[in-house]
Amino acid sequence: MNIVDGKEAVCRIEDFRVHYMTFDGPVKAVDGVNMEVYREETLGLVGESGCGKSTLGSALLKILPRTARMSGKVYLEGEDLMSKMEKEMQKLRGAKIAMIFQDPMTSLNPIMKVKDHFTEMIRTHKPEVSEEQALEMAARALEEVGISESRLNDYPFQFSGGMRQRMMIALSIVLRPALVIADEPTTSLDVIVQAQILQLMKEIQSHIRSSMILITHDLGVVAEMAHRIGVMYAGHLVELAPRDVIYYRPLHPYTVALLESVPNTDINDMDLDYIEGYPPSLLNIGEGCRFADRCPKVMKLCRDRTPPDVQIDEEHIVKCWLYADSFEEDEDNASG
Amino acid sequence: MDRTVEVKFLSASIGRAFRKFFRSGSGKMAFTGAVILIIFLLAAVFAEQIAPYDPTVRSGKAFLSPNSEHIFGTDNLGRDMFSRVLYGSRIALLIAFIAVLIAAAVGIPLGLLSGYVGGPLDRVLVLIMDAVYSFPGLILAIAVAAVLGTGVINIAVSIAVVYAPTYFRVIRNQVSSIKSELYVEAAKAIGAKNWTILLRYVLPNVLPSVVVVLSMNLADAIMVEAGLSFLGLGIAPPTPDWGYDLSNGQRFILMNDWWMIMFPGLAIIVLVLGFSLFSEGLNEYLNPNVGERE
Repeated sequence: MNIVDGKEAVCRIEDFRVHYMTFDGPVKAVDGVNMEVYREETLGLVGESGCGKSTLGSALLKILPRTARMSGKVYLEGEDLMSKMEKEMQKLRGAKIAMIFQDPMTSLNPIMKVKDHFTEMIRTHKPEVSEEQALEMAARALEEVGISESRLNDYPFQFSGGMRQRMMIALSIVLRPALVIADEPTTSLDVIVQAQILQLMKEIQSHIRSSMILITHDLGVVAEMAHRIGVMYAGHLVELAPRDVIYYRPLHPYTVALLESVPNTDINDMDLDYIEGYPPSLLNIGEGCRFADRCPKVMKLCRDRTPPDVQIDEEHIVKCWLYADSFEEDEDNASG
Repeated sequence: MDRTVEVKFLSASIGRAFRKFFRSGSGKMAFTGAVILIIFLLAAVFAEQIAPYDPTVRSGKAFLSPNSEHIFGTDNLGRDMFSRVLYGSRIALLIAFIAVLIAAAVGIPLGLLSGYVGGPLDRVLVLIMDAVYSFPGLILAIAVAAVLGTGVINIAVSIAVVYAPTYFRVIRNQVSSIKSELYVEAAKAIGAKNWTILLRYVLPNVLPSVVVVLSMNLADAIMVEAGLSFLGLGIAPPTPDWGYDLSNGQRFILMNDWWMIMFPGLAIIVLVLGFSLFSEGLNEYLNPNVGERE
């Protein structure tokens, strides 16, 4: 296992790329992402729609559509996921790496009882567990998310959206996975339920001691939940740092602009700040910083060469030419 | 998602035409159909007990018009038409059920596989099934029946060939849309195997449409079977069969012997209507948005 600076990396992602093959050429949805997820931490992954954050999440489970081509390395507790066959991945999914989806209304099979969702999940991975034991585990998992055991015999449609998301959480943690990927888990819920679910996820995570990648576009959610935050833009991970650093000392011009565009409730400030322009099309995109066209501090170099991952300090990485000390050195870093 | 079954069954249009006679959603349509079906089923099962005469032997004078002894009259060989119609329902239902069973047994698994696996397999299967589907049903059945020869199983197979693509299409299209539902993706994310997903997540969600197609198919199978027998490609003569009786009876129509074609024809019409009403009612019941569509 990898121990980095006294912290144990549960998941290590190296130069990870996901390209969707289309008739017009590859769409580079995730392009050269490096990051680590430490044990028991929550890593928030933020970015606007289409920046590749959800693709990255699904890619870790290898449940992307057939048109997606993945390259790079993903290590989960030392095991290389990218070299695994589908059969081996099936054994890992749910057991070691679990996913919570955005829309709880449709992520449960409408014709399967709650208990069947659980027993199927448990017995797929642990055939030695008896039906009764599986039900017991299910009851305990439901208890943990605050749903009464008596509802095991109900169908998903008998639950509200918030309760279904609780169920999804219970389902994803019942086998105590090392890594939980939560893909916009609260986006389709109202703010009150959202707060409850986030609180619940926080409690559960510290209780089962797993790591979590929290994918969201909601900067408020990550501020609440995440220990570290990764900011994605157009397939690049542009900045990765502890939460407070991102909020108080952001370095990448995109992160700065993103934080400024968060609407506030101050009625004296009715102007909504936003970032001019649009993210680039990821189809056949070439070299260069992808934020260059919208960046207030753009340099000529930015358009020609993709910036390297600049290590500001131990925990702060920025993918920006502004912070590269000298170009030669960084070229070495980038290629090495 | 629109789960409505849209297939080109003749019986489907019959059922739809009758829909306006029934108040939508009352379930009376399916009920009426069910009553008709039960009557015919009982007739088929208890034909021996109900029929006054042996349908294959002479029981009186030939060409007798309906009277108290022969309520449906007798045919040109003096056989009792009522007994023949009763026994005829046996053959009609038997062949229809076998044909539907074969068609479903071929069409459903292929449709599941094609829709779920996708890719080249899907394209090849769709191409083959569409090619079969594009033939006019009766013509194709005649061609197959002519090759296979007469006999219950052979007729059933030739009808099944016509209708297997219908199952295939309905199942395949629904599977390919259900496949992209989030709960299927979620099932993958919890490590479910492909077979599990196919049998526990996909199949149960397409079954409602299968039920409807099944009952529509039964109606059409009866019509095709009657058509084949009418053309002499069905069951060998002494066996009572509505299609054969029709073709036999129409030779004497100029003698004003209307009862010889009236009763077998009526039996076919009523049974097909029963299936149509039942399936359309069922369709409405299982897919509540059918009525709003038009």
